Amino acid sequence: MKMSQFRGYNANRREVMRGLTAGFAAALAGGSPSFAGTGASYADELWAKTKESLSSGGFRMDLNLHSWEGYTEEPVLAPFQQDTGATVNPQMLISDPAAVNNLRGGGTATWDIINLNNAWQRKMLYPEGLILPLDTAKFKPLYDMNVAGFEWPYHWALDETGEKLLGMIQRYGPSGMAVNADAMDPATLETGGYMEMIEGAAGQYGILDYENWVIMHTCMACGFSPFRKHTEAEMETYKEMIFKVFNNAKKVSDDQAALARDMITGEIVGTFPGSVYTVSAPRYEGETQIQCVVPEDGIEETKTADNPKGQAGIIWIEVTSLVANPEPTPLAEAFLIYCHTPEAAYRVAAKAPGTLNPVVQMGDPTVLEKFGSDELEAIQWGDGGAWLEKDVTRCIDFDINPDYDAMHDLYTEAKRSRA
Amino acid sequence: MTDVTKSDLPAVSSAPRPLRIGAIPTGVWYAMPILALLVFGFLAPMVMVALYSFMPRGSFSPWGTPTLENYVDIVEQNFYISFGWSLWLALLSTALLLVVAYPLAVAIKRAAPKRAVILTVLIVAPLFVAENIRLQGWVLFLDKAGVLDGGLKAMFGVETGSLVTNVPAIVFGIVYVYLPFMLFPMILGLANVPPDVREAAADMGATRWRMFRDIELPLAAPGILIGGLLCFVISLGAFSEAKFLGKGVIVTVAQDIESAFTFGQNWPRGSALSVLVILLAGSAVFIAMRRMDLEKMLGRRG
Repeated sequence: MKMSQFRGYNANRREVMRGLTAGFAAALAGGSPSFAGTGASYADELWAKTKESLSSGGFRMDLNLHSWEGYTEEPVLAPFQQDTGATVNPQMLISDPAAVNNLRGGGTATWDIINLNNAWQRKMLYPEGLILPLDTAKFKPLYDMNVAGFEWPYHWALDETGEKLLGMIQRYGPSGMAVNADAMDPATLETGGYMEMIEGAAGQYGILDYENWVIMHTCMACGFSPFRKHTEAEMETYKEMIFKVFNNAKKVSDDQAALARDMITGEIVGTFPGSVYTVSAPRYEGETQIQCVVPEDGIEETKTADNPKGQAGIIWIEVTSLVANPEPTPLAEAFLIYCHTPEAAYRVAAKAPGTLNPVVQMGDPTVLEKFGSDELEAIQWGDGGAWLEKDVTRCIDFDINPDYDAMHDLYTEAKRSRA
Repeated sequence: MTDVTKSDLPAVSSAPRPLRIGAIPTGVWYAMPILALLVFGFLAPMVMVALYSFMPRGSFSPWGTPTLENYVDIVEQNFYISFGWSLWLALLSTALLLVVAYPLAVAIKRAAPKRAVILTVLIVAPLFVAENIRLQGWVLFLDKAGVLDGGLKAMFGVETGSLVTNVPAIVFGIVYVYLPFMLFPMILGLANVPPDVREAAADMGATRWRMFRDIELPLAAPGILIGGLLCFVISLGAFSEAKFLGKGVIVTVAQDIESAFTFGQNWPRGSALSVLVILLAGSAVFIAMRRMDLEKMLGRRG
């Protein structure tokens, strides 16, 4: 069914759908469908029961998905479409802020599912009524699959009260810099920090131009968190640093594959910033000299007695939520459940175009065993997940930058000044 | 039978009477679809962009309290750099396109029909491939360890290194992508040059340069002018060439607009930049049209 065909749905149809959802919830709450398993077994059982509940039909059969690349491709979508008979219309994001404003600008009438980096759901989308909370009873057990650090109750998946579940978490990754280990010793960056790239490799590095990430990592290079209000002195420091970042760069591109190729050919030694998701594709192709490095010595404000080294990188985690679409479809909730089945979770992680990413469900052995050694090598998993965990612990959580507007102005000025 | 003179006939207007349905001429009815398309597809977005350009930062609706802050910001910040580059690239590329396309247009015009068709197809064929893909192809060809560098190294031990990430590569990209937009109006312009006139001029001893200056150029001017304007205007908004072949060596105003609408989430500033680009392009067209009498060139007026 095409999108135009559901625009005419009336209140009766909505009532039918509400009835379907309520019936399913009642069935779960009433205990008639019981669940024997936990973790991945629970996910499989829940998915089987969800498919059964969908078989009666009577609701909109298209699902409109606005998300990062992990969920927009055939290996993930085809089994879901085959199992449910749904037509999934995916649209890939170009940036979190753009997607948020798409929803604000009336996109709730278009989209059923929104997949963004953390923070937006809790701080903007839910308070503004753009997304709906999930059924906690149904989804909470899925958190048993997650790796350490992402267990229930997970901060970024909940609202400010901690009572409403705003979405499901899946792909994540630490972000610092990327380097060709044959051209520059990763240990230099690890111990020396961002300035080893910005000043030490002046004229030899590329900027991976995802604009908000350049801004965030420039703040970290300045020695302060991007995710709080900044003093005038800090803004001045930021200005000086962002101009330096651009003036010292050899090239600027938002094409991570092109920059990876430049690293492989020796055209550049590394990128600022760089993340596991930007190096995983070349690593999967055997170019394991391309690495993501998170500096070990963090910014002062993150140093504590428990963590004296603090944190220097930034970790992102995607949260997938139900859009407050005035004409909802139960397929949206079903899709979230489907993505937690071991095979789908693996595909979300490993079958996106041009990137492989860890998913939190790798905490469940049934999911983890689906990954080949080359795929684990690509995502810098390490022995028992130790490499990835080390980088993750060196990162602060992605959040919203309250000075983003002013910093973006300075970013664009610095970028233009390269000429 | 009596002679009927003109003066005996009732006075009839020499102009044909327009057909009408109600109070509206039939022609207007016929024009309705295209008028509707222009109003909703062209005018309405332009009006929206203009309205947004006067909204304060953070607005996602065009109906707030108007402000000039976006234009002030553009003047106060260093946007002159991206405007300067876009303008320079458009002027330089248009000039190069004129030089490159003219001999090609003459060759196609004078070629035998079969050969002209082959040449035309060869030039049009790349248009069936997306611009970004074609430009990426050039990147893979010209970049370090690319087809050219790798090929020369393998065959002759010579390395070119990377030939992208510079302004000449961007100019090359623009000229390559927009060549058909200059070429085909130019061919149409050259169709206004009768071969007999050239032959007559040659018989009378005119040099090739004189024939070009006094015959071909004036007669082909409408096509050349239209091609030039078209290329200038679209080059002013060039984006992909700087992105792929320039790799950040410069920022064009189109890239600034994209950044404002996406990562910047500053729709009003993106709109204000767009309005300025539209005004710049519109001014160029206006000035060119004022200086050149198109009707006269097209031979509709003495």
